[in-house]
Amino acid sequence: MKEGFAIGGGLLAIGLLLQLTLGAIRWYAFAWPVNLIVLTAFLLFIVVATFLRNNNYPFHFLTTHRAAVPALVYAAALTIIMGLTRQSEGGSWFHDMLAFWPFALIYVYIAFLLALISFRRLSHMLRHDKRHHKGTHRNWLRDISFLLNHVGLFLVLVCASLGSPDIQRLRMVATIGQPESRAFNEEQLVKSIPMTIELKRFILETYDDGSPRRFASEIEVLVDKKKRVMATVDVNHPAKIQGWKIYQYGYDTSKGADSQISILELIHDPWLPYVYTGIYMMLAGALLLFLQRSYSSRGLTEEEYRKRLKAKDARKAEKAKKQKEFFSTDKTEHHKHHSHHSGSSEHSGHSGSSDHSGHSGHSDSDDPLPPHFHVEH
Amino acid sequence: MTWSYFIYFAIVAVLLWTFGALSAWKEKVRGAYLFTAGGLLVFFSFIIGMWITLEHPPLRTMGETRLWYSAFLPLVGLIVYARWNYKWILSFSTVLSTVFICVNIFRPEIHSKTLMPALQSPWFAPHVIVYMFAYALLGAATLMAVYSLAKRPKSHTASSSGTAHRSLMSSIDDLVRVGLAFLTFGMLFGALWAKEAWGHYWSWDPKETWAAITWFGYLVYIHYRQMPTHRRRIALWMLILCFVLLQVCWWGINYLPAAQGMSVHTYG
Repeated sequence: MKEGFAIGGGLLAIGLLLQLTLGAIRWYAFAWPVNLIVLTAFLLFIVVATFLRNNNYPFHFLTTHRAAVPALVYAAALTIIMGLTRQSEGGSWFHDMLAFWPFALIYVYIAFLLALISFRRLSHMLRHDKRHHKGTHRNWLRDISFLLNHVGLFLVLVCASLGSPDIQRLRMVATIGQPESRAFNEEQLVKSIPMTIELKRFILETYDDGSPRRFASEIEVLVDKKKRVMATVDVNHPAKIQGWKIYQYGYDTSKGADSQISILELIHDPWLPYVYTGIYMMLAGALLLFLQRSYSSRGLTEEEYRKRLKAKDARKAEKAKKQKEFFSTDKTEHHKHHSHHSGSSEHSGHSGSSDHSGHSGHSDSDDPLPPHFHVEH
Repeated sequence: MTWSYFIYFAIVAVLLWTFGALSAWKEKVRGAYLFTAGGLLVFFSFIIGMWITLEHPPLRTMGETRLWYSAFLPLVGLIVYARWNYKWILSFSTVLSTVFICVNIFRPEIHSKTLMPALQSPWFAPHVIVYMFAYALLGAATLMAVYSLAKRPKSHTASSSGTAHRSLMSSIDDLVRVGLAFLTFGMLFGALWAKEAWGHYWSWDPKETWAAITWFGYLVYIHYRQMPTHRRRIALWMLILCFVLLQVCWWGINYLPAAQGMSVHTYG
């Protein structure tokens, strides 16, 4: 785990250097198409790292719990700092955590680990499928749950952060009887939108004490100067038109129900479908996590279960050893040769059985591999 | 059906749930199922009665959400009981449910309180309910962690107490796993709701920030426990720390200077 903490510490140091030299992260610089280029480069890097993983200790290390736990600890710690300091856009260092390099780098690192571990899991699943190990079976429910959780979180982290500069968030003051096509961004600059909105009616319902129970706008939208659409925009029920969501934001509170205007918020987020894909994957993953069988429901403790699997592995290794001895003439040579390879590449020959020792997920990589012998299946 | 009938339905339901919980302790499985289901029937018939009278589902006020919460707790307890045969889960859900019923009986005025439009969402109840259930499960895991830390293994019976520790640990792991699943539901339901109500799914509102912290905390525990070289006591201390973070998220942020006036999650 020391290595994991060292990597995280290194990232923090790099982040601090970047913060000192470049200043806070300017997220708007990642606006389309830069974010697409960055994403492509990141994905390419992940693919290269995945192929290097088997023969490269650092990349192999990154797919283990010894890397995951420190990364999560760093993310939690930085987020705690964020939770304890008042945040404002343009604030310095901790006060604008989202633009603070060390924070962003740790989250990028987590996304990287998520991608590597997902590829690794996927390759184990496919390899197992091809080989049809005798007497072993993969726990597919667990595999699918694992992939949904990890890939889902990857999608959410990557698409939400890289997509953030492409979000358009505009305000419009719609007046009764006056078609309006001007909307303003946060800097009060006029932005063009592909529609004209006319407020037909403003609705305000109040409780007995006068506080608003419901406020809504009936609007008529002229889309692309052709199509007319009627919509009612309620709090919690935005209208969806041409990839835009139109929200009820406010009204003339001095006039109340007689307000002649309605303040609408128009939001366009082209990356939303990808973030939602991630969210739905995580929801499905959480459901499978909930439905998974536990050790205790088998009447076994975790330790007993692991012991059982270990015994199974040992029996197998014993059998393999006997076979090997039977066929080999020069034992010592073979042993030397194969023990040399008993690292990550050797691993593939036993992926089915060694996966089982990591019943609670995928801890196979963390188990120091038993001194087993190479068998051609 | 009016609110004044609530107390009668509640008393009958709580009694039935208590019988159910006692049956579970005594490993009388059929009794546990029948009594708990009976209590649920009584409680839900009150909710349906309210629904018909109000002409909309009673989900508008905090009190009404508590009403659903008190009904869902034994329901989810029953599901968990059927799935894992934990004999303590029904007692746990009954006690929690009773607490919320008592709040509703002793503070009935909340039912007339108004609900701001942003909270009038079909996501409101599930968001809150699954979070509350996650908090309950993780609370139970924390209690078991404290118990496990306090009970030091005696040297001469090392092996037998070691086994006891391990079986306790796997129950704790199950609770945390299910608790994390529900935390994830709560967080993502919140994100989907936020997109509809406030325009964005995640705004790093203080409550959201602390929800992320809590979530990361339990992820650390789950991943740490899967390391073959992990130390049991460190893992248990992690759980206690995580529950402290969860408390900050639940109500502690109301007292954090950094979060004052920054959150949409401040209630009346």
